Amino acid sequence: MKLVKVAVIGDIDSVLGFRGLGMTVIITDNPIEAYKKLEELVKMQYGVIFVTEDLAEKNPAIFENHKEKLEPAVILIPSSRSDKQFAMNYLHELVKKAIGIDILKEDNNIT
Amino acid sequence: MAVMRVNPNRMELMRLRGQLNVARRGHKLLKDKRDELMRQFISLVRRNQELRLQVEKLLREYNHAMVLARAVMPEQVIETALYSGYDNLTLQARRKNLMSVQVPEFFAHDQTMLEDDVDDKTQKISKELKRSTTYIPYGFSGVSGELDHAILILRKALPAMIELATVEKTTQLLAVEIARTRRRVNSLEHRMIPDLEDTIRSITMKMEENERANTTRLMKVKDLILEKEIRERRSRNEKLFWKNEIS
Repeated sequence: MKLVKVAVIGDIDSVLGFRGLGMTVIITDNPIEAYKKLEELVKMQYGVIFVTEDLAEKNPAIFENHKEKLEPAVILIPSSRSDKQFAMNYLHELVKKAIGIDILKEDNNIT
Repeated sequence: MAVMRVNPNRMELMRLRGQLNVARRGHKLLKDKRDELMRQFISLVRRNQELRLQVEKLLREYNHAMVLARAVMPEQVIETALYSGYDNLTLQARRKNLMSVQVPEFFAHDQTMLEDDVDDKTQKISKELKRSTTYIPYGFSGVSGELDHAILILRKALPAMIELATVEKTTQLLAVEIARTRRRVNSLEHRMIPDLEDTIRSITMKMEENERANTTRLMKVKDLILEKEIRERRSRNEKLFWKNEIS
């Protein structure tokens, strides 16, 4: 059992409020800079890092690089600027890759 | 049909038979593992989707609230208000073993949580955070209520976000493990086991062939020996016969 810190990376509009929750907030619009910051955070014992979708979309290395590692958990959150459902689509993609069919999509069709 | 390059002898045959047994057993075990992983993955991924929808909805609400807050207050006021809350959010991270895949589990950290039983984690998270849902990290003077509203929405989203972190990480790790296991199962099923079977068959056939060749050779040799024997005996008998005739 250990303690980990939580960080948020994204544009100012989407992430500023997280400071009010006590998370470390890193404000950037640049996907490359976001990646660098993320790597720094990983070294500093951050266990959970939330990244806005549009940054991750522009630089897939942000979430691909740590996918197979136990920590950190890089989790995508929607940003205020775009509503592209990138994270949801990524989840669908993951399911399709893992079990061959997209069970989540089927659910949507039925309901 | 691919026969391995091995010497067709009994030693190799035994070795390959052993290998085939191990491969079959491993194949069965891995298949079971894959099925179980899939089962776990499916339920997890459903939960993942639920949580993600929930989190995205709340964050969208937060974004709307934040737009309002920024509209009624100058940027600097918001920033200073939020800076006063320092980076104090820590989570407890535990490792869990799920089908021999190491997965993390995150909990909201609270001193009281260490004391009592930590089993019912979602309840604990929500209980602890409910206590803090009304907590605002800045003074109220000079800050408008819109910002409070935005922060409160975020607070509401936090338990879901923490669980989302756990579940989404677990799904990702499981997906990787499923892909790996499936590759192993397939390579055993479609490559290793048929190859071994073919090789064993070809070795047995070669050995039977050798056996037959050996038998025929022995028969031939026996024939030759018999023939020689017969010829010798005949010539001996002839000599005896002529000897008797003369005398």
